[in-house]
Amino acid sequence: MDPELRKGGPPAPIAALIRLLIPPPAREAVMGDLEERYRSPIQYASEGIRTMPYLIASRARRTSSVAIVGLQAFALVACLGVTLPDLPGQTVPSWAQGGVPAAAALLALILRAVYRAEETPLRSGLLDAAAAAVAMLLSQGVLVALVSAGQIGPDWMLPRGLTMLAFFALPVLAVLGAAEGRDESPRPAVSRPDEAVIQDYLRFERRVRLRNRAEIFALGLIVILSSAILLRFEPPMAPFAWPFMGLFAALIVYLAARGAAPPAGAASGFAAVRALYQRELARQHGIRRLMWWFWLGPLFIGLAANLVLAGLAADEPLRAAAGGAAILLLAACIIALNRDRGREVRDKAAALSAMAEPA
Amino acid sequence: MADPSSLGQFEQLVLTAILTLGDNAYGVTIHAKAEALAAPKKAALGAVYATLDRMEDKGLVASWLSDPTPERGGRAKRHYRLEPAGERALRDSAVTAKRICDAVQQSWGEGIWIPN
Repeated sequence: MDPELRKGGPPAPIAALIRLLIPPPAREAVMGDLEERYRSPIQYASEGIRTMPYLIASRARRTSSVAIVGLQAFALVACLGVTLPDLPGQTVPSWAQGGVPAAAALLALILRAVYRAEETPLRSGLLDAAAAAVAMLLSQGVLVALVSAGQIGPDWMLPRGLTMLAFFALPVLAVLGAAEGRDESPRPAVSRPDEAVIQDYLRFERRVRLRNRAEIFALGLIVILSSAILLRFEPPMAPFAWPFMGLFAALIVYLAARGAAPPAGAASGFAAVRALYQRELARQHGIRRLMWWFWLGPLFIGLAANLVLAGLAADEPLRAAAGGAAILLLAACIIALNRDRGREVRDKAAALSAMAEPA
Repeated sequence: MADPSSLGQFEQLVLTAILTLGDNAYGVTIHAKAEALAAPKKAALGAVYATLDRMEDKGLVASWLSDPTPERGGRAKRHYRLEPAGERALRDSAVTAKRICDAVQQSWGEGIWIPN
């Protein structure tokens, strides 16, 4: 750069703000580039702000899988009653009442993925659920302010019954967040294959253990909350819901008994640990593949009931067709997620196979 | 893998900038070079970062962080270099561009290269 053009560095508060807004992986290089191009505080701030949308969009493309975002959207849409048929005399349609907090929560989840640092699956899942909850509350807070100011009607607020249902989205979002990161690291170090494989497996085993605990906790929460609601309100769908509760309880028992990866202690030596690792990668992938269908199974029922059946009953073919399309899209998201994960697991297993056994 | 037909014009500019800058290819210099190649059009710095990220994901370029330098507030530079797939994609794009240039020149004569 031309030293003549440089007039000191950027003001610390502006630099700190820009630094905060740049996604962490790009921070070091972009802050350096902006500093190198510094001419004046206004030029620096303006260039930093203009650069931000590109950096955020690029990071979002890299961090957010279409399948995960799709499943997050489905969970929010279902639990916030976006697909519910409108009641007679309802001035604001259900899709708008639920759509506002759902969109706010989805945006929060995408932004969290952009700014997420290295996290354990448990922490990642809990923070995802917390971010979505805060975004939903904030969106309702904004609506309260607009209602108080007389800008919109009170029907824009989420009905009380749906507020309770919205809590069910949180365990699903937590599990999606916990499962979003890989359990395995994509490329093991090759300098010391024996040590690298053992360390890599220990990390994998720890991540699986934490994710498994998060999943058991989330399933337990759903079973407790749902059972309480079913016992208290005895809704008409109760006879269909109880078998689901039984299934979820059975899953909790299975995950507690077989969900975790065994410790490497029993396997000694490079070949044994590598074989255990490859076996466990395949087994965990099998469990995950099945779990997604269990986790998201209730959404299929919700879409079928609220869109397909309600559309047919009310002679609204468009609603019924939208329901059919949504069911297919939900299935496609789960299949895409499983396919992506399957590819990652195969890549990892192949990388392990390619590692030379130490002499 | 990289499909040459999927290279946009801006990607071609950024790849050309990296090629010509050699060991000195990082955000600031790539942006300056790409803007010089695109003149009189302007190029946003953010668009250069987004394009570099995308091309890195496509395996066209590789990046690494250098040591921090004082003129950048003690911050490191992210350097870029072309990967073999990036070289192939750029070569194919250049060959296509050359054919276009030849065809245009054949129809409109050498006067086409004189700026307005």
